[in-house]
Amino acid sequence: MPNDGTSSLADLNEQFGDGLSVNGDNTFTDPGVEGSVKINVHANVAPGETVP
Amino acid sequence: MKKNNLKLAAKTLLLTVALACYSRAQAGKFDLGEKFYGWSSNYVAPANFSGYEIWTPVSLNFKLAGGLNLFAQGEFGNAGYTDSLAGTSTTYFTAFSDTVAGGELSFKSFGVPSQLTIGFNIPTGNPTWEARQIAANMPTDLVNSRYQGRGFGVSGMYGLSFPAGSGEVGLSGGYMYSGAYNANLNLGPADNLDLGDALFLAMNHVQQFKGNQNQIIRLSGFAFLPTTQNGVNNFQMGPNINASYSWVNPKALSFSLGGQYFLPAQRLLNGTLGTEPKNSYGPRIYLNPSYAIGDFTLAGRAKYVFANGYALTESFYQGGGLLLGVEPSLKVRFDEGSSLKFLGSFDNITAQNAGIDSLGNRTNVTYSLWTFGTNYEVRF
Repeated sequence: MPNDGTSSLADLNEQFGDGLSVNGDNTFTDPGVEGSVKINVHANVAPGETVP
Repeated sequence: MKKNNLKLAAKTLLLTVALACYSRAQAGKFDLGEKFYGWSSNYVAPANFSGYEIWTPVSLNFKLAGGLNLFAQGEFGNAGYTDSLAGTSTTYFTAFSDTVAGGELSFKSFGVPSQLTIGFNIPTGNPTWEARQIAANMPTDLVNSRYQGRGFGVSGMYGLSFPAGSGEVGLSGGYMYSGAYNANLNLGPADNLDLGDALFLAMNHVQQFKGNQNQIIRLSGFAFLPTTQNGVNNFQMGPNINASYSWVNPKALSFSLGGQYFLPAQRLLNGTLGTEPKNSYGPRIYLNPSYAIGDFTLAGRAKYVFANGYALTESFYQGGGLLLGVEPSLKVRFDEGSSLKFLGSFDNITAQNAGIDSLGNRTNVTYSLWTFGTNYEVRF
């Protein structure tokens, strides 16, 4: 099969794009920034409003 | 008003560039989709954490002379997020997302195929969307956020591909600049959130086989600069290392297996950033198999996030979780250049120890996520 660099370069591009998308979310929802809302939402729901 | 004018100017500029590119394009691709997401959780009524989203993603891709490929993408969204933070209520959004536009230039450097990719995040979206959806949303460690509305950003990546026997080895480095924006966190008067810039290093080995089959081995790492809020350092993610293996057979079984490991983050300790005593992020592993029969593909996904290093009683504790999903899809080809894809999926998501039960003990929160949609693609 011909190796013209297309496959490896396209895959690197995909890693970069996907990685930025996922890591960007992780930064955004980290407890130190904003995730405390997310975590505490689930931890501090009133007693009558709990999961089984 | 000023922001609206800027957004209008940005959209007009994008449209002008797109039309200019179309007139000079040697080839290109246009995608238009429609996708529904709906999820619910196991909270007991009257508590309710659930939501729905209807997305209309659109993307354009032009191949110009000289190895230049230009792209632009964004999506229009209509969504409702229900949470029981302060009584049960639903927040509705209808807006376009940020627009990501840029180009890939292919050329030769050091005698081997190379590529330079530049992308711009143009803030055409609603910057409050992501913050206000969080309570109702599924854990983003397990299901990525579907919307992006942030500040101006620029990302760039330079890659090289070296021959290696009958395969090829790729090496690349990248950087992403993130501009500040008002995420409406209500934590300060200006509330400028500047997510830390990211550095990227990666390598891969691609081996091609008969019948367009591929084997790909990947190793990459990200490092981050501090995230600031109102100009003050707030948090800095630790570097992470990623490794994966993929086998791609477009006519039968394909799969991708990988993992990600994070090093400890930097947190505010006595007013300055310092290495946290325990690790905020647990490692994560995934397996994504799929099987293709003609134009029908049945894909599965499994992802497990380990609990982080904090104890169950500590405020930074995150229990990780498990995602198991299945997604059938069918592509209907109209001719050589156009097709319509139909897809649906179901995911069962468990956020470990993310809730508390009536006795005050930590317990799992589970989500059921359904999606269905379609995507029209035309090549020209």
